[in-house]
Amino acid sequence: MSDVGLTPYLIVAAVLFVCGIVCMATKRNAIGVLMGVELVLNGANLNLIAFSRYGQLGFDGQAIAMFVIVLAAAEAAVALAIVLNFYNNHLTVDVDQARQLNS
Amino acid sequence: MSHESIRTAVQLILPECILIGTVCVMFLTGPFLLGRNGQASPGLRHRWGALALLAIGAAAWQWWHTTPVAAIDGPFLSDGLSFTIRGIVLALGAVLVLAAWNQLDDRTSAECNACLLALLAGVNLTAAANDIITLFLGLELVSIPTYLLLYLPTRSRPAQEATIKYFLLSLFSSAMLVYGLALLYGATGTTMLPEIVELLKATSLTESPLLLIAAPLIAAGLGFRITAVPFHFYAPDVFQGVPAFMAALLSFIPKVVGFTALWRLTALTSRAAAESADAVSTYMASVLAVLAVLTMFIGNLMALRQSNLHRLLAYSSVAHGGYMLVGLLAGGGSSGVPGGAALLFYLAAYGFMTIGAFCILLAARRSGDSIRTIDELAGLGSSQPLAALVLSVFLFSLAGLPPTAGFLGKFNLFLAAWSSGVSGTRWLAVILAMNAAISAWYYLRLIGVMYLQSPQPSTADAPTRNLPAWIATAVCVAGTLGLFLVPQAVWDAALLATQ
Repeated sequence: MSDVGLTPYLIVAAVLFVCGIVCMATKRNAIGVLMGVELVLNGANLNLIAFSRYGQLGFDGQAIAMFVIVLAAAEAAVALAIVLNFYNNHLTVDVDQARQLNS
Repeated sequence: MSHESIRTAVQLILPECILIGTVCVMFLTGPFLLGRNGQASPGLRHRWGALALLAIGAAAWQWWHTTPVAAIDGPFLSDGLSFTIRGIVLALGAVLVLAAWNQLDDRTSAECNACLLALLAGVNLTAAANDIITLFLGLELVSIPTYLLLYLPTRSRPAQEATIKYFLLSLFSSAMLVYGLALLYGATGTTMLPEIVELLKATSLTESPLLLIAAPLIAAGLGFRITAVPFHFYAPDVFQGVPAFMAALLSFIPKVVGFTALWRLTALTSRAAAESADAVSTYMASVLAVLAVLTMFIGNLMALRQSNLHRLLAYSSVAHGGYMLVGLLAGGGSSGVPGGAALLFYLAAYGFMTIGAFCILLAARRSGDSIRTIDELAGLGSSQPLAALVLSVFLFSLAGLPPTAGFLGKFNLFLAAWSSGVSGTRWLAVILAMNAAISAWYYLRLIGVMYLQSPQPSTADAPTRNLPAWIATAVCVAGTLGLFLVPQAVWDAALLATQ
């Protein structure tokens, strides 16, 4: 199998990053926003692993990626609790309904 | 990693190990002390609060017996910066536990106290980080308990709205920070912070396009935590919705971690001047200088038109973030007062005055909630003279007037920026002075309302005093006045961090 080099990985990661940011900015559904965050985190993971593989940098990148994966799981767990609570109060997960606090 | 190197690493973070150990005990035993229907025996929160204070005390004892050493090779280091930050954070962490004491209900107090301790350990780990991984994990160890603390104590609509706003924006900033750190790792090829800092000073922007993308992402991720404009907009809404102790926590703890991480990542505070004019560190400094100016002006100008005290203090916290950025930027100078030391001193002073202000707003009311609007302050000078006097001390300090810590802190920041010899920081010093003058207007107006307006018909208050909140207030008054009268010990510790 021919090796494609570092650049394609970085491009895919950048596409994931941009998709994630657009998703966070445009989705009004709280779960949708969380999916955007996951896309950005996975873009970062892809970067880390690609750098680690092609840069002769040892296993540091893989180690960071493992930590990021675990953190994403922890954040998802907290996220579900928070979104459920929000749903109990507002009967929707539309973040635009969160506009009671204003000057 | 050998057994020996793990043991050396653990030796460096013993205070945090004590805190995290207590957190585990609290999380594991907390649920078993509740009754069958999920109700707790009344007064359970006193025991958990006492345990949290005990853990902080033990950590502080351990901290006091560490001696700062120069940088070493490993995931953690215990240098002057981590020594100073640990001291500030443990002292103010105890104040926060006291402030939270009666705002927690007995059912969730175990989890809330555990989250508070975990968050303090996170700040300390960020300060002790010598590696991107530990830095990032420390930052997240602050963020995740903060989310839990936001949604556990109150289930009301405004609190839930504040929670979801803070949570989504904080996740967004963390994600950007991770992406930025990944690019930084790729561009520099190492995870060790000292090596990264060296490379940032030596590399010019044109050599490394990856750093050109990484720097703004990191600035955005950390800018959220120090409430730098334009990442500040969540602050007023969130502060308005949450209980007073959480507002106190959010005005202080994220700032400490944000500035510590910026200190470690940018090395703007180290004395050696940047190698070349287009080095990456110079580029980051100019990005941060723009943020500092915007943050000071927008924070102060928006605070002028607030009628809700939590919102007002939120904008005040934004403005103070700008002042501290000036300290960070003045750090690279070759002469005069070290900007890093001025920044750390200001962090300590700001912690005492902002947490103290929220504590007295909480303690002045006996109903359990804090005073929230300016109208409720009217006539406080005659109805509760002590509370009015104490709040005046904190407002004087926030405005930067003597005889308080805020005056000395601002004076140091001004001197550091004026004398650093870095181009442009003199302008920052002038802008800082202008903003201190603008801010005096809205702080002193509150004092006027307290003493000059006639009191409202008093509402029926519960008969008990919020004693822990009063103790927390007393500690903050002592800190605010003490840092003005006998600042030497804290200033020496702050100087130690810049060496």
